[in-house]
Amino acid sequence: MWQSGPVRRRGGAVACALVALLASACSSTGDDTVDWYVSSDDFGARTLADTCTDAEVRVHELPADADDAHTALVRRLTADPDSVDLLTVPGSAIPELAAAGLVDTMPDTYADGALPAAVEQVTHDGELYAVPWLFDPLLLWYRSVAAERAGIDVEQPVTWEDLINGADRLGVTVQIGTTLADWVTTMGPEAAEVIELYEDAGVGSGPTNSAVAGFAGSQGGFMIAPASSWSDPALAPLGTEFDVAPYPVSAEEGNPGEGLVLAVTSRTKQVTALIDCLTSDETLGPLVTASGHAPARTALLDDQELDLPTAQVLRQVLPTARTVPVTEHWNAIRRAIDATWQPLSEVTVDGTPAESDAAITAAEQGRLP
Amino acid sequence: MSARPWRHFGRLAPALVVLVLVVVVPLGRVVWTSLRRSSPTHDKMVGFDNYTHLFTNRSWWLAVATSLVIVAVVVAVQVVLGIVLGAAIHRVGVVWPVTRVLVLLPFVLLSVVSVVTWRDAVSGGYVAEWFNIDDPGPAARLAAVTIGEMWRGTGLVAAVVALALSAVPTSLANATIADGATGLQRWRRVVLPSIAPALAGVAVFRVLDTYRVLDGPLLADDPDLATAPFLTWTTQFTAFEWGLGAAMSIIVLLVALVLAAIIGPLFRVRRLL
Repeated sequence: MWQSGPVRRRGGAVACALVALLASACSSTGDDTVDWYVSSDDFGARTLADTCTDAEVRVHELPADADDAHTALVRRLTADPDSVDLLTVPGSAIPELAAAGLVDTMPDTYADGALPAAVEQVTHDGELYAVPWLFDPLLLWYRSVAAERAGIDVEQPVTWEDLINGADRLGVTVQIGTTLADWVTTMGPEAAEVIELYEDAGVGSGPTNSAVAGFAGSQGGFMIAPASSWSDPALAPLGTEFDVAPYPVSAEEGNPGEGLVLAVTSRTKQVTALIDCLTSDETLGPLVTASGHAPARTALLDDQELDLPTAQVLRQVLPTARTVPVTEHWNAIRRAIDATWQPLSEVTVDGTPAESDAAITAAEQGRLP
Repeated sequence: MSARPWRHFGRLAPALVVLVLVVVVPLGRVVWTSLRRSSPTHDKMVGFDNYTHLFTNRSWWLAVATSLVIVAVVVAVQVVLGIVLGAAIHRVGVVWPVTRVLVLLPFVLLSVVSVVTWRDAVSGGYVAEWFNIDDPGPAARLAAVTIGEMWRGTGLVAAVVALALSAVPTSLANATIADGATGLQRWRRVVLPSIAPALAGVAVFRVLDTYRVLDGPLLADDPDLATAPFLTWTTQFTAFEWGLGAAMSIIVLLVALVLAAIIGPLFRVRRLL
């Protein structure tokens, strides 16, 4: 015999160990553990998980950059859907995941009482693919002194022109605390015009992560940012010297916003129970107050005891709220906008919108620009 | 006679099976995918649409051209520098044991490291300081990526040249000296032809290795600086257009084959004379 017994047996033992290792790796995503992927954890996922369930919940935060988050999420869901149980992502991501069959449907009852715009975003082929959970309208944040001196009447709809010219006269900034694609999309057809005006006046550096800090800083005057910015610690130095108003009027109807939704890869009892707890009034009340997010089920805002300074404006804008276009190509569109509207200083009314439209059409067809 | 080539088929079979499994099957799948619009949300046959789109697309050919420019510059400089360095190392034989480690050291570094080093040197680092570069445009970043790649591979070419030179028979060199050939003549007629096969080998390797450069453009993070592999990468793994990405990889492969076919004969002995 060319091979001795003990060597063979050792080989067998190694193989067994390997199989055992693989088996344990597979079973680590077993029934009793919930893998919860969140796009940005500014609502305290860990604490919520601990209050809502006894099961072990592993919270995984996706990259902060929207494109990186999309890449990570799609790669994971296509490669190993079982490694994800619960997803908390912006509603704009759902049409693609639903069309790709990467998320499971939810019973229609989970849409009861939620904002129409938020429900529409997660509905695909007449089925509900996620539960609308939170919703963040983009608001106009202003420092009381700045608005007064710039002669801007926040009781009336504010136009971009008045806002930018007013800030320019005062020498204060208009911070943009949303993404470029959201900003461009929410301004609609007048986007190029507004950006040209914004650049000529030099009242800010466009969409940035540090908008809140800039707003609270010495040059701060105005800011376009989600309602949840209220919980940003960078606002603290301002005390009560600021307030919010609806988003500046534009040709498009309604106040733009974006909401976090809850989606599942497979509707198990365990994860459904977790969703039921997350969407309950008992959980949402404190969550809304602490985080500044508005609930997608707006009835909660009518609770007069809700301690939320933005509540009045939220009640005013939410009924007419709208989202970015509901399309499975939203991520491709966002990338096309990022590629064509940067740098802002080179945006022109004559060139950019046409170039952007061409890039978006190509992206929707899965083509290079 | 006709049956004889199959005589050893039995013994070759395992190797053939492995070859089919690791080469033919994946390649066939790439070709198949390239004929479809395949993405998380789409899966349908589109025939040669992906190819006709790429053949008429400006940004794609711009990326291919960028790749080829990098290859041409990098390999030309590396071969010339490598021969000079190699010859010098060969002459100073005493230091060879130390120098062969030193010249190969850049190649041991991951290209990621050299790319990051050079990118930062150009954007705000010491190179920017020396040459007063405020904001390096795409051209400066392309140059940085190219220099990084050059720096990394030159030592390898030098080491191969030095090794090839040591294999040139001394008797041959002595004979040419006896014949009264000048130094230049000896170099052109005897030494260069002797090391040509080694040069051709290392040149083909460097061409293909440089052609696939991905990390440079990826880390330079400049949308205007896309190479063909980089565009393939973003199409495949960021835009998730698997069909189009597959068509890109097929074209990248075909261009690589053409490159290899051109480079090999360039270094044939007679061409050099």
